[in-house]
Amino acid sequence: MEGIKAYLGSPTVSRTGELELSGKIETGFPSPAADHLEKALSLEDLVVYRPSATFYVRAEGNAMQRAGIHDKDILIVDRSIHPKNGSIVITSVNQEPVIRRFVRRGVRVFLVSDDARHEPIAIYDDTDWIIWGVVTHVIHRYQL
Amino acid sequence: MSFLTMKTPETTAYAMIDCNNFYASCERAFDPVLIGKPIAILSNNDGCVIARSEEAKQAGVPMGAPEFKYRRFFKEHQIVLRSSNYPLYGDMSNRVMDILRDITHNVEVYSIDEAFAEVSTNIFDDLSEYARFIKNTIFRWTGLPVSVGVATSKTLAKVANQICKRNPIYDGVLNLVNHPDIDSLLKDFPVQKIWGIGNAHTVRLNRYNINTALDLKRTLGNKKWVRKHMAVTGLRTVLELNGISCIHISEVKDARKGIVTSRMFGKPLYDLGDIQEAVATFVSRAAEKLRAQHSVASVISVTLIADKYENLKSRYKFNKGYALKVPTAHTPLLIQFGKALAARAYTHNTKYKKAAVMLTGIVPGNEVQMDLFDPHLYTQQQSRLMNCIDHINSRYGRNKAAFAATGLHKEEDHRNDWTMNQNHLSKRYTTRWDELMVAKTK
Repeated sequence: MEGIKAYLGSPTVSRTGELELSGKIETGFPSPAADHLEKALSLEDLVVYRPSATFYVRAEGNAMQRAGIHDKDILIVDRSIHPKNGSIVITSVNQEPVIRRFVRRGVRVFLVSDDARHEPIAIYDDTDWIIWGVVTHVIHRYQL
Repeated sequence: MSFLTMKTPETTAYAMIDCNNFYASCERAFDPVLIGKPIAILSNNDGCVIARSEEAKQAGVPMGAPEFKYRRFFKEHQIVLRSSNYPLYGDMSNRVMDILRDITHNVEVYSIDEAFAEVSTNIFDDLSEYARFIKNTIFRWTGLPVSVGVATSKTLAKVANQICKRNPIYDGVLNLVNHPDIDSLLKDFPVQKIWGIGNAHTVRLNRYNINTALDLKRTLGNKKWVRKHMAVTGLRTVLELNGISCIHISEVKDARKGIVTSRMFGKPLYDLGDIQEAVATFVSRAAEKLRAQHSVASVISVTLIADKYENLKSRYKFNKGYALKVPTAHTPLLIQFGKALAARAYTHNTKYKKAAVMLTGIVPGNEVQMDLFDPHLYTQQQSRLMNCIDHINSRYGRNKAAFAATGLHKEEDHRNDWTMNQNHLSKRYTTRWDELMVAKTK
């Protein structure tokens, strides 16, 4: 109470006899925070490094659950990033976009699923594939 | 290079960056199945072919081919059809332009898929290397292939771009600055393909045996002749072909002179009420574009276009216009005028195929001369209401908040049939959460 009183100022009696608060909030003094305003946090600033190279992709299936990717999750994919050993990538092998882990073993590259039921794909010189982008974040929605 | 060596003086040049088969490439960027396949993009109403992938060009799909006439051809040649997906193309275009602004200087957006930019040797010692960097960056970040032509003038940069786009040996990059064989390249370049040389000029130039870019370049010795036959703009082109830059980058384009919304009806319309609903929808869209550029318009005109082939002898385009006393961006008022103009342009028992709404006399909203007593004054209150509607529509999807005059609120089956045919539409991968690209985990 003490604090609130101090902020609002002490009550005084006006000439009409009504109780008034002298520390005007709506009409009077500027907010003490006005000089210290900062931009409110934006999720986009946090997860999008390069807007022109960032795309959102919907995941389908649960084979990458160990990487925290569940069915219907939204992936944030940056196409400007080079994949590192272990990066999760959107890759297109035989013209179908899939989510896999980029694994380098010596000079060889493998695309590995977290689910052992899916065989790793070895990349050869003549493999028809592209790295579409690197997954940087995942958005998962819980049951509400 | 050691940091101690003196750098050669900096050279600045123009780059023309052009996306290869832009619409088809956008479709392909999100759908790898389309890679290597012939794709044809259809116009707004699935009417005719407006863009083709390289494979579709090879297969012999002509530009402008009417869909209904070529249905069998498309099937026989396994051409993949796509309705035009402008939300996707627009977003991808913005991405390309943003990347260019990051890695070059003074970008001038020339069209949805082309831009001029300034490149200089202060970043890369070699301009060809710079051009390759531009090409590779755009391809990696967006998946879109581009060609980059570099030269000391914009006209030559455009020539370079066209040469390297056609001929695979250049791998999409050609730098004409200090190029030893520039004249032999210009010798193979037809004069009518030069930027700014239209049909009329071509006919006249060919008569004087000027058939190639090199022929035209060499007319510089006779400036008087050039000025006489091609005026000052022609002389500029000749100077530019000689590497002397005369057309500079105009970074900020003029505020648009007019806004047009026009579309074919899904099926021909006869009824005035139906046509007015279509016109009201086009007015809404045009007013939205107008507000997006913070402007107001002072003239509205409506054109109704009848079936040209129904009655070849009579007129088939009917245009009515109205000049407002005070410029406005208030949709209800514009709809009111739009509907009245449609009624005046309309004749009974006519088969209409298309309507167009044009807003002209456009001025920035803050430069309006106010006549305080005019009932049509675009008030603060109206402006706030319109902005509010625009916000709703940009957040929740186009036409989520629409005016009843457009008929857009009606149930799907009661709705009038002037809405577009888009039977081959791909997803709006970058502008809708419920239409994202899907990747499987497996």
